Amino acid sequence: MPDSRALIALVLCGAAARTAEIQPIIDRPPTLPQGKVDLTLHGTYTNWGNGSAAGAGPASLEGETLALGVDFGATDQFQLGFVVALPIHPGAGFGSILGGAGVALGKESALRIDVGYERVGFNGDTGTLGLTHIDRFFSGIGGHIKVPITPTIAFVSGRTGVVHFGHFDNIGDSGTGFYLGSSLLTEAASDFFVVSGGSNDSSTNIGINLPLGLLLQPDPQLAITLQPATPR
Amino acid sequence: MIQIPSSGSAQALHFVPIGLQAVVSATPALDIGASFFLDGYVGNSGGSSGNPGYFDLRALMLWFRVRV
Repeated sequence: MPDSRALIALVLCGAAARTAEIQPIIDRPPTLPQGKVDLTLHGTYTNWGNGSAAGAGPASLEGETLALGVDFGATDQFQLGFVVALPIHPGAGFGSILGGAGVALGKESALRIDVGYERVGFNGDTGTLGLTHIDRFFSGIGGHIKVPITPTIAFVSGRTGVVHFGHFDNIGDSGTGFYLGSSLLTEAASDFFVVSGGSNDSSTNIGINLPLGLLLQPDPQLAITLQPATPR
Repeated sequence: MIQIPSSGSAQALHFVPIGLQAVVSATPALDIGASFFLDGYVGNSGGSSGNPGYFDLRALMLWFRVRV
């Protein structure tokens, strides 16, 4: 019996020590510490209902993308990042590349700038479609602001981490996918200002966003954010 | 968001997005995040009809972040 008590105590101490090492998201600096690297694998499932711009047809259009992002802390106040995003279903293909930088302005705020390229259009079973893709270029400027209200609640806006620039959307049906990328519709972007344009007389889009949110940290290992802004 | 076509008139699309994200820090080097997002289209200015409803544009995301 004493052996089992000792074992339980050891396990509890180990768990407590592991928790103690975890830095809660609410306490993390706005940019990566020098020399640190974040690798992020990011999957997005998009579903557009029938009332969408897709018009008549299937009840919904849906699809998935996969993005791989790398962020590197060049100094304690400056980080660089790079992302590749790919539509994977329906219609696998090339999607977006995006580079960005973040500069900490203090313990609780940072500026970010992003530039990227997207190959917007149809993938997969394109049948007799003529023009299937357009090339689009975009840039954005934003920030990350975190204002603690209590030790476990904070107002937040924007985010750093280049993979969180926006949503990389792909929708489709019956083997044909349409990759929209992250700049055709900018309402999900974490940047305050996004501008994009492209080939084949495609439109110039200007997004003006105010991503405000509320971050709750009920436990050092769990963070919950309400509204579009999300913590890094 | 403002759309400026190569020909024709520009239009402004208005969104009020809402989202919920949970991040679990499984270890000091691993965060796992999941989120649900509604783009929240509410209307346009100067554009045509046929735009989506508020709940029509939906997204689920899952991500894994490793710090080394």
